[in-house]
Amino acid sequence: MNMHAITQQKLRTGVVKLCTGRMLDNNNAHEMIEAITNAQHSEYKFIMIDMSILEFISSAGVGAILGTVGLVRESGGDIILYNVSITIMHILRVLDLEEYFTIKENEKEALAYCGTAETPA
Amino acid sequence: MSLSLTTDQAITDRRLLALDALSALSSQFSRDPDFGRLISAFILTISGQCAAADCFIVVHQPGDTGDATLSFATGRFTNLETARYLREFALKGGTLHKEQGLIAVNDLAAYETLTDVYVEIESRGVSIVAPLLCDEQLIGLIGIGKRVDGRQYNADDIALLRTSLNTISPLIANAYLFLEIVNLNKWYLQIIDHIKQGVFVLDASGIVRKVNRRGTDIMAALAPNMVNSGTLIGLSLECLFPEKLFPNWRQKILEAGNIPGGKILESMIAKGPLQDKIFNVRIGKIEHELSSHAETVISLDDITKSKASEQRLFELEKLAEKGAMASSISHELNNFLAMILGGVEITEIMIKKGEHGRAGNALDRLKNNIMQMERFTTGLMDYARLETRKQSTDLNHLISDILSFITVQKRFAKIDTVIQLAPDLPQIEIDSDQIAQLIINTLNNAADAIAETGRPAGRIVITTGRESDHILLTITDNGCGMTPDVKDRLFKQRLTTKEKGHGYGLMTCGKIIANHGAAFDIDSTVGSGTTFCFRIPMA
Repeated sequence: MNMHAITQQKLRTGVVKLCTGRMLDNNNAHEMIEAITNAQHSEYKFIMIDMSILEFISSAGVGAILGTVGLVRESGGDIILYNVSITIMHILRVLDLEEYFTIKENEKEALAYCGTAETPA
Repeated sequence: MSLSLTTDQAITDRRLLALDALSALSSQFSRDPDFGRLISAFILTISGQCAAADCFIVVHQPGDTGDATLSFATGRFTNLETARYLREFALKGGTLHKEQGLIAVNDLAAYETLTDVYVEIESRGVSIVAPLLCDEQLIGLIGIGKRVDGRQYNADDIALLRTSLNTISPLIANAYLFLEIVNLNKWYLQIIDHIKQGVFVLDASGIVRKVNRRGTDIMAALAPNMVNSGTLIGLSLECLFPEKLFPNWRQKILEAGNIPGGKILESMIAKGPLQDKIFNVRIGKIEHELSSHAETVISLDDITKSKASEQRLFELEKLAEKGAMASSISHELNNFLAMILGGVEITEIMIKKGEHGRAGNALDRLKNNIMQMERFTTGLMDYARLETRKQSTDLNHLISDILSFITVQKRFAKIDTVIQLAPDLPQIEIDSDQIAQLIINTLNNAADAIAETGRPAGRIVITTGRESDHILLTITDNGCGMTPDVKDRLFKQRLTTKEKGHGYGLMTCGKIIANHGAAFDIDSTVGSGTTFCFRIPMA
């Protein structure tokens, strides 16, 4: 399997899941931006990124999510990272992004967050 | 907010992460030279490192401070209007940043000239602007938005940013240079793709490294299987020019490749599936400053069509010559017939008048006219019936025989004939009758040329000699000589400068020379004389 492949799956109305490959770096950072932008244009408010098999993320990969999350949030949605490994979490922590990004333990929690976030206050 | 992790270890991790990512970017660029992608990846790296969602880079070619800039952005800076302000800011503030380096946007308020754009970019969320410098040349600006955690940039962030910028600036400059080389290479390849010759570049070991479009087309026409089975790149010289399709090409190309300055092999024949093709093949070397291994450039110029036109023209000329010859022969014969008819009529009148003496004179003139006509028709037959039967002949002996009977003729009576024959001349394969005719015609012309000067005596020198695998025969006279125009047309077409000549004698000589594969040189000066030099191959 291509270690840089990014796949997409609709979970429910307004929610889409993107699965990373084993690597998210300068080779596929643009694809990630494109996937997020396309999802946003396709009326998906919540973009869940499954990082269960992600082994390496470079700062270009981080920048790809960072550069798009603001725009997603501005339109009332969010990007949710889940199944994040300890190694990847360490990098996010080093960059002081652990609390900036919405990070959930697993898909169930991520989906629950989407439901909660959608509920009007 | 987790600020507790900005420890020494965390800072080191961040720098390593940044350098790893930048290093990976530059190595990827060398494999896939996409400049836009490289700069975009730089932005992603910087934004990732600084934890800033918004980032932009405005770059221009090193040495170019004009408007030829490229801009790239992430996050909110992708807004077109924001991008326009950032570009304007980069143009206005470039010099300042070259001097001041990295500046917090808050501090820009102090610079009056930048007030307008400062207000704009500050309101659009730019926090830090920094120059991209390479060898102290400004190649662009980078702008970074606020940190996503809301925290101010601290000294560690600034140090990391400086490290990253110091790394990416030369990478951008090198990428530009690399891109320029790639574009230049593409440009040259496009040029050679548009020339009408097929061009093949072979490396020092004789392997094809480059072929232009015309080269591929030529091979596709001559050897479709070769092209259909894949690219021509990587083929050896032997496979590119197989002996069956390109007889003797490989050997000649190899020999020509060793000649300094290259060589043109003219009219090389390639055996095509439908028709043979004729090429002028140029072989040259490309020397490299950095390598002792020279490449070979082979260019094929298809001259099949021009050769066919040439042949057609030649045939038309021959046809026209035949037509002109027939017309000329009719004209000459009519002249003779008119003279003979006139002579018969005069004779008839004289006889009727009983003037037998005058009738006898008229009959003499009639006889002369008929003999002249006979000479003319004999000349024609000589020209038409030249069949070559070569046999081993002693040329010196042949010349001696000819001179023994020709010099007693009246036209040679006052001519001093000198013979200088090489003693060790080998026997040669010639048609002795034809060569004898060539010598006699040349000697007769020499005698006539001497007579034309009006001098009481003349001199003809006949020499033989050997040059490589040819026998040289020279006949020199001190006659009237000939003009360059006459000299150029000699042997090629019916030509005479003599009052009573018909021109077929020289045409016959031309045919004899051609029949023997011989060559000739003429050295002539009007008023001084002429030297004919014939080079006759020994076999």
